[in-house]
Amino acid sequence: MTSDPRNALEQELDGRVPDGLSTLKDDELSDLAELLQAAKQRQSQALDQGIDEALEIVPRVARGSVRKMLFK
Amino acid sequence: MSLNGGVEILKLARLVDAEPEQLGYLQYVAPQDIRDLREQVTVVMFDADRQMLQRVASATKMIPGKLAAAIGERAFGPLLCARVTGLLEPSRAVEIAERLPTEFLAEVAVLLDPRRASRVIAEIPAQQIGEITAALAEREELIAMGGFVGHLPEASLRAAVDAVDDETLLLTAYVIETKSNLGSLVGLLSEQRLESVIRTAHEADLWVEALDVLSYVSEDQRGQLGDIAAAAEDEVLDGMVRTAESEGLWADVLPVTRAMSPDSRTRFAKLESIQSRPLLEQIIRAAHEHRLWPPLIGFATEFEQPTQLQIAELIAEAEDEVLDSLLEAMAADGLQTELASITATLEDADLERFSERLAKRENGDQLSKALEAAA
Repeated sequence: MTSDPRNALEQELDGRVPDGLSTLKDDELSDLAELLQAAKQRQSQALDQGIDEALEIVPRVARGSVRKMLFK
Repeated sequence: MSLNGGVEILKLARLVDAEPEQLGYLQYVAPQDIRDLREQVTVVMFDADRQMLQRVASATKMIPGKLAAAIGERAFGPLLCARVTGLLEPSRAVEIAERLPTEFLAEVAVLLDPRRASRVIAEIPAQQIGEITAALAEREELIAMGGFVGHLPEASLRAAVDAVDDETLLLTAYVIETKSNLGSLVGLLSEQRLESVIRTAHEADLWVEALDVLSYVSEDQRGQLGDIAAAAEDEVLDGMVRTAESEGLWADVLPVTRAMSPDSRTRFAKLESIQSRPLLEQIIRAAHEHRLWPPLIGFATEFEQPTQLQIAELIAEAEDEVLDSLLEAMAADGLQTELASITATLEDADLERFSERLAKRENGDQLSKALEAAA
């Protein structure tokens, strides 16, 4: 994350911060950026974990081809 | 009639899995800006891991629906299912959903972006939508329910509406994602249900929510709902008047008086609670600020003479800016006769002073002539 809070938020949003948020203080912009970054990380971790658990449930006979499709 | 900042903060907090209090600093940001931010966050969250989610969606084609449902519930959980749903073939998604428990589907629904899954939502059977809606209502997931209106076909929307009580319906309508969908929602409700909803607005103290809905529906629906309210006993209308007074919602009420039938308007105008001078002053202020002079004048002509006199006195004493905007609206809408019939109730000395004042104002001569004709 960059040290400039606005840039950091723009990086997380992958776009410009809405003009109306110009009234926010630096620590508030940082908080938003951190919340968003954490949410994305949690989602990615949940996906990794979900895929591992899913492969346990898929019958062995199909597991190889499903794994291949997921990690091609 | 604007977006609600608190609701927008709640929606954003849910998206980033935070408590609304954590985003308290957004309360000073305009609701539309919070909404714009939420739109950006929605895109980012749904596009993150998209490649892998797309592969997961493709992989579900290789396994039976029953197994895909088991994986969804036991391995993926509601969040990932919500992210994958929009990437599945709708018929496949419906097949999987058929095998999932209602409670789980309700959890998925809360985390879904209905716009990204609208084809799937449209194909879920109406009965199942009704069951999911009942589960969402049980959890008081009003925002989630409000997001689905507009994406549900008529039969499903009907099933959803039938699955919730009046209070939930009103609260959901208040936080609905797209206010322009309120007309089609109200259009589905029977006269009997609308009567029940209006009664609930009174009994559950939900006039703020009901008046908000009234401000977004069509003129005909506004009239229909206004007529229903006017047909109720005094205490129901008194509740609406009290709310409009305490919350400053006359700009929502005046268009209702315009849309209701003449009989209903007369009945409303006879209501004792509306005859107080401070309240009439508030109504005149709202008519000025929101350019709602025509409905106010139409409503005022229905009042008994003593109330018309109070309105006439308030108009005669009004600041120049207020009087000028009234005269401008009168000239634009041809309301000279109606306005003259109200202001003609002034005592002779007051009427003389008012006429002198009119002589100095733009469009004042038109009202003066109408007053002479009325004399």
